[in-house]
Amino acid sequence: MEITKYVLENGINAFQNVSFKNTSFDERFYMVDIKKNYKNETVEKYLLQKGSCSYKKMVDSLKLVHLEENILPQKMSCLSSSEKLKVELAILLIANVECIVFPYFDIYFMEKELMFFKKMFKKLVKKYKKTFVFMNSNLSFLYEFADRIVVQKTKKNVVVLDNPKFYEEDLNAFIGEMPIVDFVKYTNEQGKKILEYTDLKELLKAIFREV
Amino acid sequence: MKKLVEIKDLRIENQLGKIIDNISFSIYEGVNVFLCGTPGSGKTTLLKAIAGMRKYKGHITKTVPVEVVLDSYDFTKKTILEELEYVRLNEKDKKIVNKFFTKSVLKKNILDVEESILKMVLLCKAFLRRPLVLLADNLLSYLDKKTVEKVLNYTKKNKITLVTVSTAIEEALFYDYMIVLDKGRVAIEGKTLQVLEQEKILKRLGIGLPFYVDLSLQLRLYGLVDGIYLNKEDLVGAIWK
Repeated sequence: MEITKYVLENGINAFQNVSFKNTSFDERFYMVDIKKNYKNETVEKYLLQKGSCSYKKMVDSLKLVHLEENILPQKMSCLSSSEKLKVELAILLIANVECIVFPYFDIYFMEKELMFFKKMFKKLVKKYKKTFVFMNSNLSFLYEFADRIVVQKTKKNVVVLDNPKFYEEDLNAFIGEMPIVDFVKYTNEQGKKILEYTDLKELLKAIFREV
Repeated sequence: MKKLVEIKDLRIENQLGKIIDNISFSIYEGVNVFLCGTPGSGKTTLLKAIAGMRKYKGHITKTVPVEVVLDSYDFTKKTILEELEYVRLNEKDKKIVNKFFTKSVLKKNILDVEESILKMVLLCKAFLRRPLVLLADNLLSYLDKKTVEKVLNYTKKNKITLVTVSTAIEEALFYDYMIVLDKGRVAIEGKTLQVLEQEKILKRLGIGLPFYVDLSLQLRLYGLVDGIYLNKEDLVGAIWK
């Protein structure tokens, strides 16, 4: 499925509906929803519900997402948000899902863990041709994680930021600018000459040269 | 400053061991608290314990009404209007709801609205119970800039002290006090800026810095500024003074 085409045709919120319709792992499309009611099932039972797999494969998948074997007897409902999300990721590694949609992925992790997942997603995209869709309003996160950013300004006004052109679009009224973009734009408005950087180290060097 | 909640020697365990390991701190009137930490460090568990939703050992003393908004939904009604029981509300309560929702949004089906609106429904339900302390799990992360301002203005005007659990470090700047948890213990706590200056400790815990704090600290290292500046106007003014 061509994700951008899907978003342009249906709007970003169409993914909301996907989560309610597609509960089966036979579907190629899956939206991770950790807010659902996990009832009393243990992690092991939950993993097995989504498809048969060996105990070893289960443990290996958990390890891939930084979880230990001792989490298996724990109840899903008692796990922290980040642990629930990691269990869901482990399932997706076991099941053959083509496109995985994450609403607000970044809110469950601090910087170090986000960087770990960034590497993991890149590997999964490259090696297993998985597609990840992040529904989010945090541009700094999207800049780090996405190759293509689709901003839905209004129902009918959608902007595609291929090879992100953060400096060309005025996104402030919709989802807010990245802080670094906002800072550089303001600096230039004040008559300083700073190039359009998206990397803090490069920006520091530029400020050093300009002062 | 009036002490609203006191947490003393709090301990919580599960089958795998300690989740909260001897935590003590207090929540004071008007001092909003940003609670962050490493994954699984017990942030949400701590909120649940304060809200009385989790068994614990130790002492939690509350002197005012406390409400909690968790990062999960359990809606039973079809529309937002029904979920908020709008028709049964008195005029004062209706005013609160109308501050955050337009009439057309209120009529919408719960299943058709985005996460930010669902979060606002939870928040509004909590506001209607008139808390003086509001505990919230990922309160602002789903909301756009304008709604964040609206929520913060409302809490300030109504003297509601916020205690928010979040991983969004940029949000920390909205709060007066910051507590960082690691493995069920308090790793650092203090006034938000003082905590954010502990760059090495935060880095060790895998926690980044808000953009303007990060940039200010690095520029200070090179002697280009002499303090921490939290917005573009102040920082640009300080660099090219």
